[in-house]
Amino acid sequence: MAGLAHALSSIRRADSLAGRSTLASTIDARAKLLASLWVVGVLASFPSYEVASLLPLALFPVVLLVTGEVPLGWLCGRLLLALPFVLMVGMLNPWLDPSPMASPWGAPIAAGWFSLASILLRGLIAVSSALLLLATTGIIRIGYAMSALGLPAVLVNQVLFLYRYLFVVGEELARTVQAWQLRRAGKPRHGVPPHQLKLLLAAVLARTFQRAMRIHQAMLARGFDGQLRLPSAPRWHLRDTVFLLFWIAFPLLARLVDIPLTLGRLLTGA
Amino acid sequence: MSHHLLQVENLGFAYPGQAPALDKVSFTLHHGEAVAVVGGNGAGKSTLLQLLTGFLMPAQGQIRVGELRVERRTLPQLRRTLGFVFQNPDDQLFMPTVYEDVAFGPLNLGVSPQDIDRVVIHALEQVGAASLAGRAPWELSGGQKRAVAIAGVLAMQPDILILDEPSDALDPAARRRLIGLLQRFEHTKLIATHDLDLVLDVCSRVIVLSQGRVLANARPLELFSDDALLAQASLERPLSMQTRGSIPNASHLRPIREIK
Amino acid sequence: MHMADALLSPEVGASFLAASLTALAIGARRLQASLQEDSQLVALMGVLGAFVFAAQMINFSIPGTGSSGHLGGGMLLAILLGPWAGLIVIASVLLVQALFFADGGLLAWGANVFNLGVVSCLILYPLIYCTLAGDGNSRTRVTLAAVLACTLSTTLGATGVALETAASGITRLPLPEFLTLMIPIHLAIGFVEGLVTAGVLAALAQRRGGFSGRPLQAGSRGIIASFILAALLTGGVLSWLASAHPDGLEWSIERLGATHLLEEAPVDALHRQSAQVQQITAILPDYELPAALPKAGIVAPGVSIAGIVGSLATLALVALVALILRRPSRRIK
Repeated sequence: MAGLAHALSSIRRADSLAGRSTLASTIDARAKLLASLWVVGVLASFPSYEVASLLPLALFPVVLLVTGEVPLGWLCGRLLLALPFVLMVGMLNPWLDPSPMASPWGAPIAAGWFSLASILLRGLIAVSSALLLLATTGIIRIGYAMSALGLPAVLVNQVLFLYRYLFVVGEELARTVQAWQLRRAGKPRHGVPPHQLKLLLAAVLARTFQRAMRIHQAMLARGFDGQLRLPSAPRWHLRDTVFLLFWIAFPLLARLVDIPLTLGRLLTGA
Repeated sequence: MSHHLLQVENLGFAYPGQAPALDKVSFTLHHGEAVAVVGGNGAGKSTLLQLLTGFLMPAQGQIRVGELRVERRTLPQLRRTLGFVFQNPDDQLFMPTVYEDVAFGPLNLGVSPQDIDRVVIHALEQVGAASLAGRAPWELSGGQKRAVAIAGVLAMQPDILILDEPSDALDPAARRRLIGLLQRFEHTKLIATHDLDLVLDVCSRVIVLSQGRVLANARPLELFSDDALLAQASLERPLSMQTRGSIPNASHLRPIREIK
Repeated sequence: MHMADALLSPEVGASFLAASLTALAIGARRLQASLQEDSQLVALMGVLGAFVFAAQMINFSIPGTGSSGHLGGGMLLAILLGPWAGLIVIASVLLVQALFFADGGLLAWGANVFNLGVVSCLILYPLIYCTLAGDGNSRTRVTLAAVLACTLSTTLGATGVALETAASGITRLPLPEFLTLMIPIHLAIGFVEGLVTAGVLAALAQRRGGFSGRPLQAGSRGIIASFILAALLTGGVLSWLASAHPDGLEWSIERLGATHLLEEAPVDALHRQSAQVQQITAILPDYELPAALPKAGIVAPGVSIAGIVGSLATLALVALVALILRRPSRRIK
C-alpha cells in the first residue's frame, strides 16, 4: 500500500533532518522536550476565541525552524497532512456558534469564525512544534531525554526498539502487500478486503515472531540478562538552562499580557 | 587454556518428530585455526551453530570450550569466549545507533561507562568502521552492517569467532573487504558458509556436513578437488577452481543466491 | 482516531497525561520483574510494536459501506503480549506517530494512550476478551470475544475523543452530534478489526501449533479493577472540569464587550437571523442568546485596529527574530 511505503520514506526524511548538526540540534534534548510541552500546554490554556494573542507563541516553532535549518517546504507538507482532522472538528463552528462578535473591520460575524481560526492557529503552532522538536533532535535523543526525565526504562527502550525495527518489519509488510496487489485482479478497491488482510498480516506476523526470536538470541549472545542499560545523559550546559528558562518565561508572558494588542495600542496610540 | 580450544564429541540432536539433524558429529578446533563448516541446505550447519552457542542443548555427546562444557550453567561464561556473528545483521544490530550497538555487549559484561568509549572505538577501528559510529543501522549498506555486526562481537573480546554465512547478501566488493578482514583476525574462527571461494581464502580446514554427519574433515584444496565427495554433499568446486563448462549441469546445481 | 493538541484544554490534557503515565509506570514495574525471567519479551515487544505501526498504515475495506478503516491493534497486542506489555507497546507506537506525523500531539499523547491503550488493554481485554474467550481453544469463542472487544474498543476510543473534546471546550461541536459523527463508522471499523484480529490469531495458531496468546497474569485482575475505578474517577473529575470550565463565549464577551458597547441596528438583525438559524438547526438548544448580547457583541473599532496592527507587528517581530537567527548560519555557508 502506498500509505505504508510513503510513511516509511517520510520517517527516513525526518530522520535525515535530525541527523544534521545545527544550532538547534546542540540544545539538550531534555530542554527542547520540556520547552515544547510547556509551549503546547500554555497554547492550550488560551480561551477558545483568542486568535491574535496566540501569535507570539509562533515564535517557538519559527526559532526551531530557523536555527534547525529545517526546510519550510518539508514542514508545510507535514502540516497539510496533520491538520485535516482538526479542521474537520472545527469547521462547523461558524454555523454551530453564530452568536455575533465584533470583527476587526467592525461588522459583527459569527463567534464560531473566531474559534475556528483559533483552533487552526493552535493546530499550526502545536503540530509544527512537535514536528520541529523531532526534526532538530531525533527520536533517539528524545528517547534518552525521556529516560533522563524519569520515564520508565522499559517504555523508552520499547520506543527505541520499535523505531529500530520500523523499517525492517515495515518494508517486509509493504513487500507482502505489494505482492498481493500485483497478483489480485486489477479491480480498484478502497482497501484490502478483511479476509485477505488477515492472511497477509498473519504471514508477516509469523515471520515477525521468528525475527523476535533471532534478535533475542543475538541479545543473549552478547550477554543480555533482562536488564536494559541506557547510556547516561549528555552534559547539561548553561545554554540549555537559558533556552529552557526563556521558553518557560516567554509563553507565560504571552499568556498574561496580550502582546499583539499592547503592541497595537502603542503603535496606534489607542 | 588447553591446546584444543573447541572440542565437539559425538554430538547428536533431533528436532521433535523429525530425523536427527546431527548424528555423531565430532571435530576439534585448535588455537588460531580458521575452520569452515560447509554442506548443502539442511545438512545441519545451523543446528550445529545453535548447539555451539547454547541456544539448543545436545541430545547426545558434548561440546567443550577450553575446559568448560556447554551447558546452561556455563552459558554466561561461554558467551564471553564465543563471539557469534549472525547470518542476518538486521537481527544482530538491534540498538538505535552503531555506537550503542557495539557498546551493548561490553556494557552487559560489566565494562564501566568511562571505558566504554575506548572499547567501542577500538572495535569499530578493527573493522574499519569508526566513521559509522553515529549512524543508524538501517542507513548502512550490507557490507557496513556486516562489519558493524562483527565489531559488536569483537568488542566483547572473544577467543573464538563463529560466523554464520558471513558473505551472504554482500556485493562482490564488500565480500572482498570481508575476506581481507577475516584474514587479518588472529581469533580462532569457525565459519559456516556456502561460499567455497571464501573458504579457500580464509580457512585452513574444512568440515563437510551431509545429512547431519561429518562427511569429511580435510584441507580445502584436497577436498575441493574431490568432485564425487562434493556432489555427495550437494556442493561443487569453488568458482575459482572451475573452468567454464567443466562441471556438467553446473547451472542447475549452483545455489540460487549466486544466480541472482 | 487521534485526539489533537489543538482541541485540548490543559486541564484535560494534563489529567489524561497523568492517568496514562501512572498506568505506564505500573506496567513498566510489573514488566521489569517478568523481563528477568522471560527476556524474550523485550525483543517481542519491539518487533510487534513495529508490526502494529506498519499494519496501521494499511487500509482495509469495510464490506458494504464503500469506506475504509485501519487497525488500532491494541487488542491484538494485549492478546499476544498480555495487558501491560500491550499498553506499553501501544504507548510507544503513539509516541512515534505523534513525533513523526504529528498524529495526535505532545500534550494529547496521554489522552491517546488512554483512548487507544488503557481502554483496550486494561479494561476491555480482561473484562470482555478474557471472559468470553476462556482458555482460547475454541475458535468460535475467540472470534466472538475478539469481535466484541475490538468493536467496543474502537467505539469507546472514539467516544473518548469526543468526550475529551467536549470537556476541553475549544471547539463548539456539541457532544451528541460529535458522537453521531464518530460512532457508526467506528462500530464498523471495530467490527472488521475484530474479525481480522480473530483471523490473524487463528492463522497464527495454525502455524505455531495452538498458540493462543499469553494468559492473563495472575494478580492482574486486582490492578485492572482498580484501574477501571481510576478511569471512572477520571471521568468524574473531567465532567466536573467540563462543567466548571469558564465558558469561552461568556469570557470573551465579558472581556471584549464590557469596555465599549455599541448600540447599532445590524447587530439586532444579525441576532434575529442567527436565532432563526439556531431554531432551524436546533443543534444548540442550551445556547439561547442572553438578552444583553446584542449590546455586548461589538467592540469599539479602535481596539480592533490596534489588534490588527499589533498582530501584524507581532508577526513582523517574529520574522525579524527569524532573520537575525538565520544570519550566522548563512555566513558559514
